[in-house]
Amino acid sequence: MSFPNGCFRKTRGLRIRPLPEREVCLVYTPTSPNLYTLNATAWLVLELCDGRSLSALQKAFYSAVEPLMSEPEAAEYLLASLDDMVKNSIVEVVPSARTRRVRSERGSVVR
Amino acid sequence: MTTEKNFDLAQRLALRRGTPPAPAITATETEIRSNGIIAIPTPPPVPLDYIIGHYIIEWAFRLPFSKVREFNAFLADNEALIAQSCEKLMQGVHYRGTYMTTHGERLEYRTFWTYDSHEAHKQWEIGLRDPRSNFVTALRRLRSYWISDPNASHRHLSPAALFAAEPGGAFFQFTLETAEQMAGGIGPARPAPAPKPAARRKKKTRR
Repeated sequence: MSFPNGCFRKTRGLRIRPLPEREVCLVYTPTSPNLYTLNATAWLVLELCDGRSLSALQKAFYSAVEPLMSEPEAAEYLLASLDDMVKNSIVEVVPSARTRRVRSERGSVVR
Repeated sequence: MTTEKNFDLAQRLALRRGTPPAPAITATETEIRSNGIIAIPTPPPVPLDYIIGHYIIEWAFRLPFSKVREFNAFLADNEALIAQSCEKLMQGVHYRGTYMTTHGERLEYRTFWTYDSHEAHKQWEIGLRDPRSNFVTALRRLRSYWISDPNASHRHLSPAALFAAEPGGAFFQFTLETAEQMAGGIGPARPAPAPKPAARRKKKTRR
């Protein structure tokens, strides 16, 4: 998976219901109506998806799970989780703020 | 619905079993009919694979200085026998050694036994069956040092994490609640005030 300029955020209207006694959370995706069960690791990744870039996510996820996981192990879990969540419309990739700004500047020149 | 609280909760749950499990996202059946349930398995209890035992027995005792060399020599000669006999004769009963304070404090000994389950205590009926065995002889001598201290203690310990969900009986829970009430600034717990009796109606006097 490669999203060099992308940022990750939860899809619009996503519903998250923690079930701490089962160590999972339930996620409902209204855009493509489905219910998913996320284990605690996937849920942790989801909570970090607030518009951060991939590198920021890698740092944040690693700091949440160190020292129990190494940086490469954490990155592997993160990518697997993001891949699944993007495929299932739980998380979406949006252009980074910088990319959006550059694009809008270019657009203003064209006009 | 992203909050710091949710992040903290997810992090706590991801780490509570040690290394986080591989991320898993599963589609959940949503076609619920009457009497239907969403099947989400109950997670198994956290494996306490780092603890020294599920049930620990601690003997604490002191000896006069005149007995210290003798006792330490006894341990050096007999601890391996005691420990290995426990493993050989009984299931789930383990001798974990006798320790002495080494710095500054008044000389004191602690002996630790661990049990894999509560039922393992019954294994002593097998372990003590032959009163003349080397094991029982050594054990009797070890226990005699403990007996010789009139202030010796014998305590049962269990991992506190096991009491996170259920605090260990109704009365202990009551004690904790009382303490928490006091710590919350409510002061000593007092019984609820008795309801006041209904006020009597005043008789209207006709003048």
